[in-house]
Amino acid sequence: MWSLLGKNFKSRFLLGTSGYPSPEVLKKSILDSEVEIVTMSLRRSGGISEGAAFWEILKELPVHFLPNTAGCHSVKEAVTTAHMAREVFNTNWIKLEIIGDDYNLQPDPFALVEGTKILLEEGFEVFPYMTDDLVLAEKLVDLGVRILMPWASPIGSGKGLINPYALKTLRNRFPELNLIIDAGIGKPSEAARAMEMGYDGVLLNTAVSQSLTPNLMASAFSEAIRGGRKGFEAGLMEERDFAIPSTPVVGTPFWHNEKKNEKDSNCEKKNDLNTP
Amino acid sequence: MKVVINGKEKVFEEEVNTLLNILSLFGKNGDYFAVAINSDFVPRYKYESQKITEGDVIEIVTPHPGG
Repeated sequence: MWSLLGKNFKSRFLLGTSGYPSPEVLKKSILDSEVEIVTMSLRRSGGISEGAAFWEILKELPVHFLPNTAGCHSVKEAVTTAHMAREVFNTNWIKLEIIGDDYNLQPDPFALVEGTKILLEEGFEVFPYMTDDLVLAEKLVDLGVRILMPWASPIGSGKGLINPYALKTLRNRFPELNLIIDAGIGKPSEAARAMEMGYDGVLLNTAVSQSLTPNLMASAFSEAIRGGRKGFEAGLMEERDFAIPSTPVVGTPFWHNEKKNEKDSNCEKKNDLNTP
Repeated sequence: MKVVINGKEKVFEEEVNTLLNILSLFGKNGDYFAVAINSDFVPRYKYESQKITEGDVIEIVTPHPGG
């Protein structure tokens, strides 16, 4: 059990809802992995029933909604989208995503700070999708965010943790804050690694929805995230540059026998040489 | 009256003074969509009083999958 913005959750796995083969597979993935927080977006809809149908599926599930501002390129667009999301999803949670570069979908740090300030003042709980930049994190924390969501690597790239040093630095610098890895995770082992670093949760989408069996992959991530967290809580050993035997050395059978045998053998050789 | 709805130009022959008029013409009711006019959010309680003027750019959005 962990606490996020005053709410208790069992799962530390946050799942995106995009790109699944069917709504049924999405639903099964959510249920099989026991995720409790899912992300979604707002989009223009050809027919209003299209959005309504998706919303009806989500509303039936025992999950908390984290709407995003995906695709926004300006503060204005993101703030307006947040306003609309608050009304539709009836939550003040918003995953603030303001894209600064279309090639790698890297978030715009300057717009992110500006948008965060506006939305915090309006009573939103901002989940800022950000790079792993320490100074940016400090600016956001100074504004009053209670959560940071650094990327592991670009959205949908599946490259995993490309800068573990920066992620560790963020964790060490903000021990009291909720830190959630968002984007770039490709494998369950990478999610486990993030959790072993002490991250509070992992948000991902593509690695599950684009797998051959999304509900099975969602379960795999769920278990990896649980395992990684337990590993962190148990306290990982320090890495060393040398070997230390894990089996006790004292009482090792044949201890020194080899040396003694070598000595005996050498004596015999010496005697042989002395023999005329 | 000519307005732009979700990126497409629409011409209304009938009288469409308010946002509620337009939403009604499209059969849009319920709580599963939100509206912005000229990039500003229009809360649900203002649909009836929100005046529409020539050239307004209206966005109507609904829940969709997202990551």
